[in-house]
Amino acid sequence: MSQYGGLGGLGGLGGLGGLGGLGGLGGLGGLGGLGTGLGGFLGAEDPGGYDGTTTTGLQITAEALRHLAGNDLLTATGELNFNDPANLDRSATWVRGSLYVSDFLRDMNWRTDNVTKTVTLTLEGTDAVILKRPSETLLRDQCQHVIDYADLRPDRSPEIVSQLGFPTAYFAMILGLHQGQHKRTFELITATQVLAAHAAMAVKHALAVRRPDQLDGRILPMIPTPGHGSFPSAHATEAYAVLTVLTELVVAWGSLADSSQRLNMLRGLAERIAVNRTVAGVHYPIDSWAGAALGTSLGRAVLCRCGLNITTPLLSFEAEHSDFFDHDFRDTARAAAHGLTEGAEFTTSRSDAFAWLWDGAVNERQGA
Amino acid sequence: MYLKRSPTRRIDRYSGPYERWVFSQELGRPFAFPAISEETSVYFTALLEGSNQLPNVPDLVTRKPPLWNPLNRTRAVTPFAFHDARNNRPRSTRPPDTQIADLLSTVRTNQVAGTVRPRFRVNFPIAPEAWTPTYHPDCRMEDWVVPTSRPKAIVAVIDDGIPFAHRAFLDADGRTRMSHIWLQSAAAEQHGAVPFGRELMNGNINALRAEAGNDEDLLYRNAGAIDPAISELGVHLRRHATHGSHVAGMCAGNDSRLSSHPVADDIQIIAVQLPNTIAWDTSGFGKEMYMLSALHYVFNRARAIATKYANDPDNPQELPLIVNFSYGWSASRHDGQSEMELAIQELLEDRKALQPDTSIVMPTGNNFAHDMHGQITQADMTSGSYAFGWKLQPDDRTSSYLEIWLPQGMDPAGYTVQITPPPGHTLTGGGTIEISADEMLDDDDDPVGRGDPRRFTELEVGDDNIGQLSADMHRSTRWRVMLALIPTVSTRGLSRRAPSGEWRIEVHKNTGIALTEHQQINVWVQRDDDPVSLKTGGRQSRLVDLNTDDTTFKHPLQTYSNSLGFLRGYGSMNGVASSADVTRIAGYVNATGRPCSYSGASGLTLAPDGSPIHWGSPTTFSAVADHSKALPGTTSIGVHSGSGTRLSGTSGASPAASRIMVINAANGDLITEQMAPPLPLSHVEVAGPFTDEKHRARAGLRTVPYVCKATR
Repeated sequence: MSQYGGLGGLGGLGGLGGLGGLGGLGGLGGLGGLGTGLGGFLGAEDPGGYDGTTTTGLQITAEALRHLAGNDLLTATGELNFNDPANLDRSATWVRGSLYVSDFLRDMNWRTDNVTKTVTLTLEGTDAVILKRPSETLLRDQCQHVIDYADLRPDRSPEIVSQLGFPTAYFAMILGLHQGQHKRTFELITATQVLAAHAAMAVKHALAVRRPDQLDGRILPMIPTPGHGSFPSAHATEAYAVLTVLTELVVAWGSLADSSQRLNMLRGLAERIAVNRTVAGVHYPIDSWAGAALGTSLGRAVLCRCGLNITTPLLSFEAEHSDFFDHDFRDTARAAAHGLTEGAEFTTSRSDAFAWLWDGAVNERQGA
Repeated sequence: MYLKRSPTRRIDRYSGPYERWVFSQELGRPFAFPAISEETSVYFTALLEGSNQLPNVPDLVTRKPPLWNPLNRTRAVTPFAFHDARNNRPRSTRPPDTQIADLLSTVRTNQVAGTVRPRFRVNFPIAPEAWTPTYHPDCRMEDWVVPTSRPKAIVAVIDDGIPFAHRAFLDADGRTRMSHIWLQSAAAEQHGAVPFGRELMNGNINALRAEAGNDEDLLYRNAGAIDPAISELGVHLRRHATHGSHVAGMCAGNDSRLSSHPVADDIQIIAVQLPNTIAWDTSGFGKEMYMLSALHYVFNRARAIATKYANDPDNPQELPLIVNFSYGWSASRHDGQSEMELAIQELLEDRKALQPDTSIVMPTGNNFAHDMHGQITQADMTSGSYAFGWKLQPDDRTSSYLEIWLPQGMDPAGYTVQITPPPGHTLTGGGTIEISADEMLDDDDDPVGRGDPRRFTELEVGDDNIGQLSADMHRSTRWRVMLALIPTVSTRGLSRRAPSGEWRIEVHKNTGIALTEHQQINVWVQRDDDPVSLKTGGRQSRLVDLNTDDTTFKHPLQTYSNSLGFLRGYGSMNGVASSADVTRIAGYVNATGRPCSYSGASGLTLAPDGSPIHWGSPTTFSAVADHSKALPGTTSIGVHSGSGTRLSGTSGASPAASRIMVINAANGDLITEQMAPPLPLSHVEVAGPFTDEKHRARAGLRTVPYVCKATR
C-alpha cells in the first residue's frame, strides 16, 4: 500500500465540492444553501469526496486488483455528441443549475436613470420592467400597513419561518408534486426561483430602499432583516415567477380535472407568500406589488426560453400608497389604479437547455 | 390630585367611578383601550335609566338603536347614542371628560318642565367612520330573502370576529342561514337601519358570496368586515380563528367537527359582532350599551322574521329564540340589579310572556381558581375591622380594579376603608375613604335629578395620581367601595405607576352598625388578562387571605372540602349573568365528567348554624369546555371555510348548550331534551352538605351532551 499512500490526498478532490462555493451567494437569501445563489441546485448530485476509510479502502483494493487488467494498449472508443441537449441528462443537477443561470443571465441586463430614479430591466435588449423608486414619504405611510399586519404574526409564524428560503414545499402541496415523480418540475421551479432572485437583487441594488424597520422602530420584525434593499420583494418576485411558470405547466399537463381550482390556490399561495413577508415586518405592501410585476415578467421570459410562443407587455410600476391584494394585481384595470401600467408587447427567444427542461417537466404529467 | 374644573365640567358631577376614572386624563384615561386613550371621536354610547324618553335638548343629537318593546313597557335601562350638535367635526381635541360633562350639563339646564330628569351612564365612543349618516330605525327587510325552509327557531350569536359567510352556515341549497348580522364597528353606509356600524341580511351575504367566488378574504374586505383603519374592527377576520368563529360555529354551524348534533335548515341565525374593545378593557365599564343594543337588535330582527310569516303583521307569533352571549366580567353586584342584568331580565320576562322558548345563554366565567372573590362575614368583623391583601403583578400595563360590595340595605355610616401600599411605599395623599355621600358633588336643589350618593378620592404619590378610591351607592340601592390603580409599570410615555406587590385593604366598622349574621361584604377583582391576544399587556391581580395558615391535610383527589374561607370560587360567577331568567353554563371535562378547575360557580355562604347555603343566581347547566385534561378545549370552525380551531373555557361550553337548546326548540321538544341529570359526584368525593352544595354550585342542574365529531 506504500506507493499509493500519498494519493490519499485525492480525498482533497472533494474540494470540487468547493464549486458549491457559488452557493455562498445563497447567503443573499439569508439561509445559506436554501438561498438565492443556486438555491436547491447547490451541491445537488455532487458526490463530493469519500470518507477517509472508503478512500483508503479503495486504494488498497486498487493495488490488489490492478494487475488483473494487464498492460495492453487501449482500443478505439465512442464519443459524446457535440453540444447535444441530450447530454444535459448526464450532468449532475447542480451543473444544469449553473447552465440555466448562465443561459438566462447572458440575455438579461439593466440600466438606471439617476434623474427619474428608475431602473429598467431588459431582456435580450428589450425593456421588460421599469420600477421607480418610491418616495420617502410613501415609505413612511406604508409603515402603518406593516404595523397593522403584525397582528397576524401569531397565526402565521410557522409559515413565515419555513418560507425564509424558497417555499417550494408549499407549491408542491398544491400540485401533488413528489421528488421521485416530478424531478424536472422541481428543477424548473428551482431554476425559476434562482433566476428571479438574481434579477430582484440587481434591481434592489439600484433602487436602494431601506427596510421598514430601518424607518420605523415600531415594526420590530420577527425574522432577521435581510441584507439587501426592500423594494421590490424578492419573495414576491420568485413566488409570482413560479406561479406564472407553473400555471402554464398545469395547462400543458392537462391531466388535473380540477386544475382551475388548483390554479386559484396557486395564486392565493403566491399572494400569501408575499404578504407573509409584510406580516413578518420586512416588506412594505408596495414591495409585493413591484415583486409581483417583476416576477410575472420573468416567469413569462422563462416560458419563452422554454419554447412557448407567448408575448408579454412592458410592465411599469410607480407605487402609490396601496395595500397588496392579488385581486387587484391580477386585473389590468384595477392594477393600473395602483400604479402598474402595461406597455408594448414583446417576446424573447428559446434556448435548448430550457426547452429540454420544459419537455421533461411536461412529461411528468400524471396519466396516460 | 384631581385637577380643578369648573363645576359644570366635572364628569363626577354626573357619573360614577368608572366613567370618572376612564375618561379623566390625570386618572386612568391614558391607560384605557385605544378607543378612549387615543381616539377623539365626538360620538358616544350611553344608557338611559328609568325612562323611555330621551331628553329633548337641541344641542344633543340622540339615537336609539333598533329596540324591542312590543308590550310598551317603561324600560329600566334603554341604550342610546349621542353626539354634540354644536360640533360638526367628527373628532375633537378636548378631553372626553369635560366634553361629556358639558353635554350632560346642557341636558340639566334645558330640563323640560314637568318631566323626570333622566339619568345617563356614558359608555365608550363610536368611531366617526361607523356613525350612520342617515339612520332609519325602521327595518324594511329589503335585502332579506325568504329562507328555503320556514324558520322554526332562531339562534343568535353575540360575539367578536364572526365569519358570517362561512360554509358551515349554508343550508342544503347553498344559501346562508345567517338571516341578519350587525357589525357594530364597521364603517357605516350612507343609509342604514342601524345607528352605527353596518347591517347585512341573508340577501346581502348570498350576493357577497356570489361576487367573491371562493375567495373569502376578498368577501370580508368587500363586506367592510376587515378594515385596519378602524381599531374596533381591525383585521380580526384575517386571522386563522377568532373567539367568534368558535362560538358561532358551536352554536349554529354544520361542520364535520360538529356533526354529532346537526343544525337543521329551519333554524335561522341572527348575529351581532361587537367592537374589539369589548374584549379589551379590564373592567366591566363602557360596554353595556353595545351589549344591550345587541340584545335588542336580536329580539327586534327575530320579530321582523316572524312578521314575514304572520297573518297579522302587527301581532306576529314570536319564534323560539336562543341567544348565546359568551361574554362577561368578574366584578359586579352579582344580585341581578346591575343595569345590564335588569335590562336582560326585562327582555326575557316580556318575551317569555309571548314565546316561552326564549333564552339568553351565558357562561359562568373562568375565574373559579383565580382568587378573585372573597367574602367578609359577621364573624370576620368581630374585632371591628377586617384586612385582606390585593396582590398586583409587576409589568401590568393596564388599570386594575377591585370592588367591595356592602349588603343591600345596610347603612354604612361610620364605616371606612383604608388602603396601604406594599411595604416600602408611602402614599402622599388619600388612602382612607368614608362610605358616605359627598354633599358637594350634588350642588343643585332638586334631588330628583341627582346622581347616586357618591364620594371620590385619589391616591397620590408625590404629585402623581396612581389610583382612585371611591364610594358610591350604585343605582341608589347598594353601596360599593371601588379601588382603581394605574399600571404597575411606566407606560404610554408617562412616568407615574402604581407599586406592584401586596396592597393591604382594611374595612373598619368604627362607630357603624355591625353586620348581622345574615349579612356579608363581598369583594371581587376585575378580570385583567388578554384572552384573545389583543396585546393589552394586562396581568391578573388576585386577593390574598392574610389570616389563613391552613396546614390541614387535603385529600389530593377531592375537590370539595368541608370549609369556606375568605377566598372562595363560590361566587366567582360571571358578573353580568345574574338575571334570574338567564341560563348560566358551567364547563366540564368530557373525559372525566368533572367540572373544569377554572369554571365559575354560583355563591355559597355559611348559615348561622354553620351549614353551607346558596346565595345569588345558580349555575343552570354544565357543558363540555375541555375534551380532557391533556387536550383542553373543544373543536369548532375557524374563520375560513374548512379551517378549525380549539377553544377552552366556559365561553366555548355556553354555545354547546345554545345549540342543543335551539335544536330542541325547533323540534318542539322541551328545552332540556337530550340533557342528562347533573354530573355524578366523583367516587373520591364524600357526600355531605358541603360536598353536595359545592357540587351543585359548580355543576348546575342538567348536563349538556358533548357536541363534537359524530361517532359511528
